[in-house]
Amino acid sequence: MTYRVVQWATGNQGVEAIRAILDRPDLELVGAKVYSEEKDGIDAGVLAGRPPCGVVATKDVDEILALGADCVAYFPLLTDLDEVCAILASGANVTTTAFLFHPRYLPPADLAKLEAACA
Amino acid sequence: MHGTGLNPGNLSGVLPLALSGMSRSIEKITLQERADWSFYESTNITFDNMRFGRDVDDVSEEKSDFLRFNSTIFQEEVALVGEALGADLDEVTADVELVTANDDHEIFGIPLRAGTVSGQRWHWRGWRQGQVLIEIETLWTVGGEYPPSWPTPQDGWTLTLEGEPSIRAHLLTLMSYDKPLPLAEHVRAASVATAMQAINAIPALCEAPAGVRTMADLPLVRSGFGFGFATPVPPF
Repeated sequence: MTYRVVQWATGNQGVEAIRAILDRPDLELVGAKVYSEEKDGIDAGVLAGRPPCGVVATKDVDEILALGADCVAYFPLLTDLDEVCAILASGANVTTTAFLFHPRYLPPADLAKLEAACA
Repeated sequence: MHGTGLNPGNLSGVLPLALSGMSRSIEKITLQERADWSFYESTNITFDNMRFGRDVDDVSEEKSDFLRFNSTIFQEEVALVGEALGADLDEVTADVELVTANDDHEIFGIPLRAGTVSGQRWHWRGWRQGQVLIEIETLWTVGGEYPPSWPTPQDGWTLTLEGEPSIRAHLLTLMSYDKPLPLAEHVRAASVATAMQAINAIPALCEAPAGVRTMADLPLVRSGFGFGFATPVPPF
């Protein structure tokens, strides 16, 4: 089984994630979401200090959501619950280092939104 | 949906639960994180987000959305461990003790002036009937002045389960214990660790039922690459 993975944000942690995804036979990098003009259009492998891997980073969220990834590794500096809900609603799983460590502790309205997006 | 990392993450969530497998009973769990942010080149996080180098009045959950957010994720972690271990917490609280620099410093070209905040000692505590059962403490400094009044665990993380038996572990991430490497490489270790905990969770997360899956729910996450000579046998 190979899981198709999007790396969302390519900062200090994001580039480490890209290296791991590229090295693992059970994970396939299918997209990379970036925030800056300088990174837009750059090969994700290159962003991680590796040879080009054929996955071009994009700022375009719709493009990322249309990839049909199994999982999005969501590592932004500033988090956005609505953004996470949109990713979940697109059918992808979300793994994140940024927040949502115990969503049952969230305000009930936020938790309801999150659980609805997961369904 | 799964949120994880280093701290909050493995060391404050997964590891306490794993070690508790050896516990008959638990009285208190404490995780201390001691770190000197001077070595961390992302000065935007140190100064803009974490507000080191500001006046004391500017460093609080009330004054900074980021600090309030940051505080919330640690409170979530305390609540998570509490629920998983039957702490039946009444409340989870946050407080911070700020320390100011005696001298001027410079961190990757950014000045940190004497009199501005150079230390943040946060406590996120889970309480039951007036007793602290779970505590995450930070001993964060910038500029190299360590407040004499603060406790002095080793750099890194010290996890203590007080109970029967009482268990203590000190953890430190480096890029190698065998090979000499420049300091900047070692600083990267925490980023690798944080990212890998989330990446290594991907197969288990994708196989789990839909919904929110916390560190207390997923099977123990281990390296999906491992030694790299063969495909690791998954736990399911």
